[in-house]
Amino acid sequence: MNFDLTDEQKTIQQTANQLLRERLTDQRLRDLVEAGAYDDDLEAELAELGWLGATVAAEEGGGGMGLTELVLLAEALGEAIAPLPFLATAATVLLLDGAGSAAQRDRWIPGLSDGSVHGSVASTQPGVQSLAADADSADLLIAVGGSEARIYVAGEFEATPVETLDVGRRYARVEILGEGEILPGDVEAAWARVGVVAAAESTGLAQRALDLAVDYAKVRHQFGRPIGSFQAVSHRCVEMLGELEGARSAVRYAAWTADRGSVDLQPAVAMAEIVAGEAGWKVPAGAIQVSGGIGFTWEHLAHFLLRRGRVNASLRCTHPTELARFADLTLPSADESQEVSL
Amino acid sequence: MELELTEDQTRFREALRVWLQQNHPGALPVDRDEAWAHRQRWQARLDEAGYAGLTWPVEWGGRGATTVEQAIFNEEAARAGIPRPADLVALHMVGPTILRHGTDEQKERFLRPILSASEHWCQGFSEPDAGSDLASLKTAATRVDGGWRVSGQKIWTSMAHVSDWCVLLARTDRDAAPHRGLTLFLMDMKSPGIELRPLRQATGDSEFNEMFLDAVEIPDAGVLGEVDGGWQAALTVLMHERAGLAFTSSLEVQRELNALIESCRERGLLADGYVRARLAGLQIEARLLRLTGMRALSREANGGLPGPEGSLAKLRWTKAAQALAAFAMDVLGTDAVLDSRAEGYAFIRSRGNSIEGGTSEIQANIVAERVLGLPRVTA
Repeated sequence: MNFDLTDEQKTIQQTANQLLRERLTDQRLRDLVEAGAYDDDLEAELAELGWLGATVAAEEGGGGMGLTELVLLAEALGEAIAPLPFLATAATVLLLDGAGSAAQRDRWIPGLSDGSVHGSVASTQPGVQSLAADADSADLLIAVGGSEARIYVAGEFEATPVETLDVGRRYARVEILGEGEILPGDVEAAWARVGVVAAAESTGLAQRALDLAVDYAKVRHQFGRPIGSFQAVSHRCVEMLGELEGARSAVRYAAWTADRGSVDLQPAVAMAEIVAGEAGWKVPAGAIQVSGGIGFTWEHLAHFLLRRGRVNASLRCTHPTELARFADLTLPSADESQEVSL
Repeated sequence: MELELTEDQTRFREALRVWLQQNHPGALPVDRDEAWAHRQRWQARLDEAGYAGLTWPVEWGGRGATTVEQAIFNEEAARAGIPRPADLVALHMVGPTILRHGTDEQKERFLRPILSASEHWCQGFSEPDAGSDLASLKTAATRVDGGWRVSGQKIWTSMAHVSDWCVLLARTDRDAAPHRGLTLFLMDMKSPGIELRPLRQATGDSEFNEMFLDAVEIPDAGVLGEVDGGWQAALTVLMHERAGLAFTSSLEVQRELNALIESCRERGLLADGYVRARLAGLQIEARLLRLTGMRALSREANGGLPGPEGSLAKLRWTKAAQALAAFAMDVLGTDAVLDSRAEGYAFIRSRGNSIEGGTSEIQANIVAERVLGLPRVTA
């Protein structure tokens, strides 16, 4: 029973963190946001390192990694508040790899893996116009609704860029124009894997936020001492650590169930989305609080984390919906009850 | 939530399941004294079968098993609805501390009776003026020929009235810094000069005691570890207290939650959206406790020692246990306030969870300082 990372996984984690820390300094992040730009050079570098097709089988030109490893990469990218269409690419790859036909996989996965092709994924709910990350620059769009997913190529969908709270990521409203092509495989399982990766990014956001808060609490002095020595501040940080660790446990477990085809996959993923989704904005909110006045400035990174975390939570797991879904998966059904008598 | 076991671990679990099925001690009696006797007999039976003190070295009566096997045991026991052993203080705190800091003579004398539940222990640490600030304790031991003479007062001493021995923390050097002048003693509860007064808890029962020590004599052989080195040994005791809580408690929280879900189902409350949402939230907390416990176990199994993360685990367990007990009261309405109901007792009892074994405030300080590296509260 080993729930700890293997040495190999720890190396992946360390390498990823180090690379991103070097490439994405605070100033570079701010500059890219101002310019409304992504870091294309970094994307090319990650493509070469095999990150984009990380979970695709080695025989098909991918990294041959498990979801657990992809989760580590996604966490690192969350921590770095990476200005890249990585999540959109990863989601597209996961859906094609998990539920696409051989023809669909052959046509798109190589390009997605080497960065020459861009994909986007939209969740379709009746009556709601969907928002998809990086749809405006996508060559293909996969629309997922329940247990069905269809793939649309250029000309079969229209993406209108919209500004969201997440100022460092490009979102677009998508309108489906064509018939598209159905993905014949297990869409629910593949969509669950996408959820785990999104939850992993939120966990990374929370990690960065906690680091910002703790680092500041150690050096900021007021009343003649570091503010981290005041329990109101240190206990807030401990609360944040609790939220982060909960997210991490939930995401790791969800990835584990996905990698092993466990029957507990759906509840595990729902739980990861709920817990990490919350941590993804609550811990950054805590970072703003601990940082005081400067935490509330544009230049301070905390609000970028808060923005991304909040949008992730709103899009991937609207709290009441996911919680109800988790309830349905883990509690006896409401139908089994008698008349309500409160 | 099953995590994969090795072949050896699977064999261990299967053998254990069979044994538990064949040797189930039956339900715990309601009467407290009968329950105590029931637990004692059960622990003796566990010991005969080699299941008490699993992780202890073989030479001292254990199986030399890993923390994973201990966790498997705890899980199977919880699943089978087995009562906890009689003396957790002895089994999980005193025993491991004697193993770590004791002489061979002390191990020879004390470990076997702990395993077989034929001797019982209490912990003499807290004092009226020294709770969270334990190092400021005043119970003093003065050197006499062949040993020590101890006088002072302890409080919150659980089960002292049924204990044969006490692991006692006392001051042996008044001039040293507070935590450098303490010694851990093994005190015979039959010694003259010990007076016990039961304390009544908010729940109505009297598990606690005040313990008055008037020139109690302890021989040199009763010193555990180094003279003036008691703080280190005391920390061992406290760390084991926390580590033990983390994993086992997650199983209990799940069990109590399952019982609450069943109560809600019986009352037709599961159709209510608010109730479902709250139960789902509690379900998530219960599962997170288990997952975090498993991660800690995996780290330990890979060579780590139980560390300050135990404090974070205790913090979260406390919150979950209190939230669960409170929500049970919320949904069960007028039924739950009847004195005969278990939920009412659990609600009052749960308020003690955030105080015993180190208050939540102290646990938060430990996590802040030793996990996050934040500056100490008092510079």
